[in-house]
Amino acid sequence: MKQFILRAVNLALILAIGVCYQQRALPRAAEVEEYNQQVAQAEALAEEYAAMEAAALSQAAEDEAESGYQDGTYTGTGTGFGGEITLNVTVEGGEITGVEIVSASGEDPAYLSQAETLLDSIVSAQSADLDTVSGATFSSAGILEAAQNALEEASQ
Amino acid sequence: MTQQNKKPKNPALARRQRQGWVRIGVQLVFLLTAPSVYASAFSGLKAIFTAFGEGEPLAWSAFTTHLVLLVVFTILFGRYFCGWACAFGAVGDWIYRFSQWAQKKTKIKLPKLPEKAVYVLQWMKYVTLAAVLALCFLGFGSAVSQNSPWTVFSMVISGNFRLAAYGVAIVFLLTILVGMAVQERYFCQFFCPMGAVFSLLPVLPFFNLKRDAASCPARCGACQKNCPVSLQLDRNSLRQGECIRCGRCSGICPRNNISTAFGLLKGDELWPDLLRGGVLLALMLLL
Repeated sequence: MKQFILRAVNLALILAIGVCYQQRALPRAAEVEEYNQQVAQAEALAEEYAAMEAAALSQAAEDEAESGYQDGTYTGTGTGFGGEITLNVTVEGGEITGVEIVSASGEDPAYLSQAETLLDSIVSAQSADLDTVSGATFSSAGILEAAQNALEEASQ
Repeated sequence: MTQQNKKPKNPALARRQRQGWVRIGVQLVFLLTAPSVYASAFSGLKAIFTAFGEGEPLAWSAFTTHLVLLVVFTILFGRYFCGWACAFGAVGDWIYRFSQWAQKKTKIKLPKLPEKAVYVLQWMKYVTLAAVLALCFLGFGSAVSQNSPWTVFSMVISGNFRLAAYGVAIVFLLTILVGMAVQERYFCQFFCPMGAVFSLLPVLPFFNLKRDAASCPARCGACQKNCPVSLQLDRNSLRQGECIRCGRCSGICPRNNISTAFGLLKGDELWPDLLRGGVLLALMLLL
């Protein structure tokens, strides 16, 4: 019984530390997020001014460098943990609008669901040149490779 | 009366053997359906310490789900997961069983670790746990996975043999496999960081195996000799956390002195084990 109480108090302490940590970490992360957004906004603004300046100076340079992706749905495969991962990448209006997994039969569900956060990241970064998700390196690498292959097709 | 044990059919022995085979069956089902839960649950813990180290907020993931599931299940039912559902433990059990069989056939006896050494080595798993979590805290989490025998084991289990970059991890794994052939539950007792977590949990006493030592014959000790983790059931020590709920002590006891669930069960019945297995499997597959 003494053992049980001791262990229960230990566990409660650990959970309490976790909760305290989380209460401090969450607002901090929100601040960092806000700061990053401001930086991104400032950078976007600066880029806009630079573009306007450039346009004013030489009216020729019109064709803005677009992503270069052709519209359509492209399929790519990559090697994941226990086999091939196949993805569909959808491009609309020159932008990546969706990435979905077609098949990933060799992957462990828990690890795959960790790596699946990359699908949204690819859309928001408009690129598959991203870091793997830690803890699910293989599945991540497979998804990124598959997306890269699909995007290569899209840029031809 | 003295001839009783020499009868061709010994019901107690048959019961023990049946329990042994049922455990192998349950382990096989878990190996085929949820082979990486031990590693994903531990990844959940590693992710928490990595977040601590980076000052990032804790994020819920599939790994955290597995970690919480196993911790809650263990608090309720003891380390049933270790004894019946862990893929790494299961393979270790089978290697040991095979090694016992081979030792009998070839009459070559492997050395046995003395009890004192076992007790000391059982502390090593807390060192593993502390070291791995410290490395994660310091930002070396990916180096841990790169050199972890578990990574190689789960790669091989899922048929992935691109192992070129995992030299250190392969050496670790091979050493562990040899250890598993010599000592039962070698890795689980001595090095498993997840086992270290489980053995520190406040396990509810309802399903604890209890021994009524007062009516034991002098110098019997059959329960301890047959225990895969060399446990003395009536000692109140930190080592009680080692019990993996295999129920073998209950099956071997000549006087039925071992019981669980406040004396309602003997501890080696099949239905409570199958029920727990079913619940755990359902939770693993649903969550």
